[in-house]
Amino acid sequence: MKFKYIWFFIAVLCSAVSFGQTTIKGTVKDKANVPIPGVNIIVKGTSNSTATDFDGKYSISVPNANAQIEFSFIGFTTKLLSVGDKTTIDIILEESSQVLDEIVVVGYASVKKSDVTSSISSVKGKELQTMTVGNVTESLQGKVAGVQVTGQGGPGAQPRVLIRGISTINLSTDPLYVVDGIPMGTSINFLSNNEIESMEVLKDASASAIYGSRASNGVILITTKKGKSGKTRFTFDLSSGMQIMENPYDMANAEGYANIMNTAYNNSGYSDYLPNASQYRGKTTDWWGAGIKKASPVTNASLGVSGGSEKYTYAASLNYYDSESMYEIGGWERITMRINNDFKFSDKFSAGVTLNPRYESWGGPSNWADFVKIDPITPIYKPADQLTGLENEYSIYARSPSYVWNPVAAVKRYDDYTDQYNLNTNGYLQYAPIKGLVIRTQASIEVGNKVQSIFRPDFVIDAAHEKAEINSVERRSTTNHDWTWQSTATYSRTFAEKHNASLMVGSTMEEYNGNDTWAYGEGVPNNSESMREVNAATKNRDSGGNSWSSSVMSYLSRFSYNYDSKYYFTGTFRRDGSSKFMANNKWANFPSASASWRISNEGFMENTKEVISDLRLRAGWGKVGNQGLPASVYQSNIGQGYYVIGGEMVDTSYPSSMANKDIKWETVEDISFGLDFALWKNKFSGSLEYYQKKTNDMLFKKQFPTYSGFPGYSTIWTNVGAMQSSGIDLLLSYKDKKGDFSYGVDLTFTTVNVEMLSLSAEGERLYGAGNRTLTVKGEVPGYFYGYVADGLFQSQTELNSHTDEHGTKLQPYAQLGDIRFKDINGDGKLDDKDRTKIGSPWADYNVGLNLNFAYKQFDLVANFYSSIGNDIVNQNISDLYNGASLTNKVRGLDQMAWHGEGTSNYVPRLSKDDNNENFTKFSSFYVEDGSFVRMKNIQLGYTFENMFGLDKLRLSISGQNLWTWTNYTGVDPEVAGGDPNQDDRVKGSGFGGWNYPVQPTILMGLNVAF
Amino acid sequence: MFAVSCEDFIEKEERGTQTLDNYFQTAQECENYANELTRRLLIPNDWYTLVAPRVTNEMATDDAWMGNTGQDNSAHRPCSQYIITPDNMGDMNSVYTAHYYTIQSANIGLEKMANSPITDAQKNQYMGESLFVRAYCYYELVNLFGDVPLYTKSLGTADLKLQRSPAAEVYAQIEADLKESAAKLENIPAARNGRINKWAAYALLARVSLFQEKWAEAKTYSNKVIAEGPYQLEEDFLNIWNVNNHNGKESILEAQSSSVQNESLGSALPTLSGARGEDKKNFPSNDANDVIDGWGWCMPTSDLENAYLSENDEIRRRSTITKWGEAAYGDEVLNPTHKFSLNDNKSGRICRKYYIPVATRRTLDKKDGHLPLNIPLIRLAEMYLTRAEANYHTGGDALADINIIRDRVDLEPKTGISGPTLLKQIYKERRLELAFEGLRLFDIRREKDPTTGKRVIETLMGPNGTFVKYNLSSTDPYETTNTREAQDKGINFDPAKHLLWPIPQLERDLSGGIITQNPNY
Repeated sequence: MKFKYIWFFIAVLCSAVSFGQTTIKGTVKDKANVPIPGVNIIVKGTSNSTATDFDGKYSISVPNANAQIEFSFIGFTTKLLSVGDKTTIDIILEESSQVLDEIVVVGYASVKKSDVTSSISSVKGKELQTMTVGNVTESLQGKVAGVQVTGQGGPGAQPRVLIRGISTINLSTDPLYVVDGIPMGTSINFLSNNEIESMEVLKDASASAIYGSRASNGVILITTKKGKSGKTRFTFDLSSGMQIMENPYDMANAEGYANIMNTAYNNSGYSDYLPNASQYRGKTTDWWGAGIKKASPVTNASLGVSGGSEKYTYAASLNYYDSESMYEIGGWERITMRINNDFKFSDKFSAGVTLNPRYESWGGPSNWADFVKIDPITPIYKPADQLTGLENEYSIYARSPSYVWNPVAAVKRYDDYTDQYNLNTNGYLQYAPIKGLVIRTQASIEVGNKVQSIFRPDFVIDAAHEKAEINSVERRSTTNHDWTWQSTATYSRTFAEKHNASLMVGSTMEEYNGNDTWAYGEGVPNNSESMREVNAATKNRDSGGNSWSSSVMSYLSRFSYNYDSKYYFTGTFRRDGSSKFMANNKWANFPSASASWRISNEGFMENTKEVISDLRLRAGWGKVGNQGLPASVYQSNIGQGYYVIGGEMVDTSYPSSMANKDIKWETVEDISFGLDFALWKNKFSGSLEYYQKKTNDMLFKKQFPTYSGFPGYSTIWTNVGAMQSSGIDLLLSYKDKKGDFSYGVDLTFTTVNVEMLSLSAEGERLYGAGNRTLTVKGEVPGYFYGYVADGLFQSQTELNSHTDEHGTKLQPYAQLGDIRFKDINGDGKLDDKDRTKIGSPWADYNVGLNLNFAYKQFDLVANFYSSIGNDIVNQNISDLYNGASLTNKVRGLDQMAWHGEGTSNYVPRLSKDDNNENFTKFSSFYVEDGSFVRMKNIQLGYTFENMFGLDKLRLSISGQNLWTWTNYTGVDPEVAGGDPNQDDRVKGSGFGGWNYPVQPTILMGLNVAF
Repeated sequence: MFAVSCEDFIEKEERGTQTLDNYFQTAQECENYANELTRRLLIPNDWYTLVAPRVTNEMATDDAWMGNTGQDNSAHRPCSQYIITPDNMGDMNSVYTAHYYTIQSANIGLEKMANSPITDAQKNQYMGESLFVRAYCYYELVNLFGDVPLYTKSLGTADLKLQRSPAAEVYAQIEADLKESAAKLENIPAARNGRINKWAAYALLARVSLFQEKWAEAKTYSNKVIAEGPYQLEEDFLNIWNVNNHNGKESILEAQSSSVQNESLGSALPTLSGARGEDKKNFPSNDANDVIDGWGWCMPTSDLENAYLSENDEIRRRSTITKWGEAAYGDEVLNPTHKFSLNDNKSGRICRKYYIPVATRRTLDKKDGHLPLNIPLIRLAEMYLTRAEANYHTGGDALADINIIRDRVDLEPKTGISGPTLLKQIYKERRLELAFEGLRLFDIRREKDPTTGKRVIETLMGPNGTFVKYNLSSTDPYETTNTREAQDKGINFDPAKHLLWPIPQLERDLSGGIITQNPNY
């Protein structure tokens, strides 16, 4: 249905015909006489343009014999020819020696790639568009050295992006995204990968310091597609496929579950939990089949049009993304439009405006784990004799004794959806009064409204535990209006031919405003769809609302200089003031400096030119900040509640947060060294970088001893200490062509070593994830901290010998088959002092491998990503292997678990009581190797050139996440940070649980250009 | 000029909330603050923070089983079966954290109110209430954990080097706070509305004096409350826990509740400890609206029932315990055969004190979170029993007071007993009168067996404990049939450590080890 209209639109557009005067034809080849496809051909002074086809052939209309045609292609020297009376022009393009001269966007400017002195990685939009993803960073995985991306499953989920490790242990670790010059925060979910022309990752502080206070996690600059003068060009890209969801565990059937639980009860001295287990044979409830779809559709589509003249260029796109959830209901849908207009009024004045309306809608259950965990004996529906026929449709479901709420019923009740509407308007005005001077002012206004609508029907599945006696309806509306205004003046000049200098100064102001209102009511007369409004509520109406605002203002400047394209220097300076700090800490300075030496341009390198096409050394230093803490942490707030006095409701008040008036900026200072090279005419190129970054005055929501009585589990925002990340980023790239066959191999290699340099006090210990991780000086942050599980007690002899010197048992409640915990300090007691480091969530290194091949009309892309050397806490063991809980167990657990000497040295005996705390003591029993290698994407395409009336038609099939190698036995080895609401983003990293897995996906694609 | 506007631009404050700096400016603000402190004595509408630890402490005595044999008991089992460790505290973490939050809040309030522009009378009232709350929190902490950090000024981040103070110092502070509270509240009339008054302070003074074996003081304060206070025993024992008799004439202080529907201000205890698996078929009405199914935790033991039976104490037995299939006492018409799921109930018994009558159930659209049962924190009967025990130790007339208590429930007066028999009778009377009112664990930890000199808990628990032995040879049809809760409850009790609970490991970790552990944990 959706596509019918799109094709209709395309058909209408296709009927447009163009007329020309004189037609020039020809072929473009390189020196080896190989045709070059895709060469840009423009008739100077007109909007006429075309590109060569796969055989290097072109044809273009020219107005008259005086016309000049320009041939340009990346990596080749541009050629300009007069037409004269020729009708055929065959030319040979020379490969350019300045091979790296692409344009790279840096903060508040763009420069030639060869002029870049900092650590910036560039990724073309095309490379990001081979995958079908809701969040474009997922396709960034493995493509940039120094960037670690951890996928998150589920519609609308955001991957975790770490640029050169972490520099904070409590605040957000996500980079700042800047779209077309405007800072857009730390989420990029609103952008379709098809809107992107290029992405620049500013990895070191010398590159990102120009973004000052929000750059400490790195900055990703995104440039959207712009129009080019020339013929109007339409593109249509569609990919559509299925996301696969298999039950990650092989769970016990009804009889098996009964046997397992009976064993657990018997082992603890109780009678059978489910007597006569064989009565359940063949009576297994297929919960998974009843609620989880094996395949859920995903679609990504974009329709684009671009073109223009010398005075005016435009690019417009309409983008659609839809990912259904694994349940019957729910998913994420996004429709965005982007209209870029650039105007050139005169040689001096130019301007542009971009409109970016967006719509997103999401919502869906998140209880998939319950479909695994619920016991397999309980039926989905209550048996007929428990039904009266008077229940509502939500009350016909059965209650499980396993504590797990009936997941089919929960999905049936689910009604919690959010719609978000945004409009971003971004405009600039540029004035170049004299040669070399550019004055530019740019403003952006983002307005948005998010509306969440919730309805919870009344139901009674179990009168004690699983019920809602009265239905309720709720609506929350959040409006934001943010604006940015930035102005820069840049003066560039070349002195005495060899001195190239440029100076930029500017200022920015940003303000973020928001407000919300919510309304709630109960007692809606019935649960029908049309009654699900607050107006229909008859009881207990409630409402609330607030508004908030934060602001930043800055002064910035950049000076860059190079001598004869050999010696480069860049310096930047930014001064930021933020509303989030008290007067004496409001302002902070963020300077940077970087330099590079282009060795290959030295005279003494002349005779190595055949081999070494490019070689340079870089070094950079910079300081960036982090102000990403909640507003007004310097206030101690009063919370409000209710109590009863004299039978009447009265107001109460209490301290809800504790102030730290001395809170100040977290700053990150880093140095980095780089070596870039290109050999054999760029066939083989790469870069190697070393960096070291140090965070000072780390902002941290520190937990104090609980007797302090501080609100929020005795936490206060504090500047606590210093940490350091260091490592190596390596990118190697090889590409070659043999006849019709061309190929390329990119390898990225990333190491990150993170170390805490100091905390707020000597000897301080910061706990995370419910004191299961520890952060101390001289160690990685948030390492797993617990007891060492030293196998299981296999025999009475082993049990009797685990004692102190007086023969007192270290584990008085242990029995055969229980875990033996190590007395690490050997003091003859098993207590808290025997906890130690039992694992680290941080990878030793990450490797990305990106392959592409092309043969005639075929192309093949394959991307691999791996994380090596990190550990994961497999929390699901406490459900799946634990006889003390009533949730379903893995199939055959009674045989896997210890049941006699030598039967297992890993899974402890089944026990209803677990008096030995096999599962409640946090120990190395839970820690697994989290290394993995994953094939992120494999795609095979076939392209028709100039057929069916189209310039290009490409068909492709692809598979994402089809293959993963790992020893981790949990749901998915891509495990990111902990719960930000518990301030465990970093300190709770690596805790695997029932996270929504990154799903294998099979897709078909279509790309059309005409 | 420009600089000024710049500074304004980056000046933003949090909206829609008051701050500690500008609070405590009106009597209403001070009163609201004191209201919250009072609420935090039990936080009766929150099943988790203080209510669950309270019932878990009952489960660690001879009065109660965990009771629910169908569900995960890991929050209660560490205490109930005496396998608690600093890593496996079950419910006992939250009580520690919550009381210290309240103590810090009280300290902040006391400092701010002292400088507040309100009248001296108002200051006295709200500061007097705050002092009581601080004392009450320390009273619970010292009884649960022994030595604990003690402070009476608001703490900043630089002040967190406290060590545990000896229990005697904590008690001294409790007494000082209560005396100051009583003095400040001297002229505030006892309004019987849930506000703290001077009688509550004197009554708690009596209790902590008794706990410290300061017999004379215990007698003085209990006598003062009995003789001078505006309280009388309810004629009908059942009326103490009556949903329609909030803050009755016997009540000195109760945790308040309300059935208002737009906020959850009901009592969580009847839900947490209510009968699990009620079925409308078992009610004459056959109406689902009569059912409020509880969670079935903290079920009375047959041992407790036997204690009532041994005294022929019908009124208090039936007001405390409903046996499966019996009429709910006082609700015989609407619930003549109170049945619940025996499969999920260790003892086939539920606590009648926490019961919500059917007529009340019918009036509530929303039941969970809205059950209007106030929870007595201190009531007059305890003062008689305290005075009796104090009199016993100081040579006064102990029998008179226990006979007043017995007379109220139509029991024959005790005569002619003395010495250890009399003391044991006082202990027993305390158990029968105050069962499930949050005192049993503290009582058996402090009471000394007059024949052996050991703590009563030592004679009850452990491998040779009388309670343990009783259960292992019991013939109770319910308890011996449902063995999904271990019958040997209490067998792991070790007097070398179990007279106190351990300090939570998290607290020791956060303090960098300055906070020490209790012996043998």
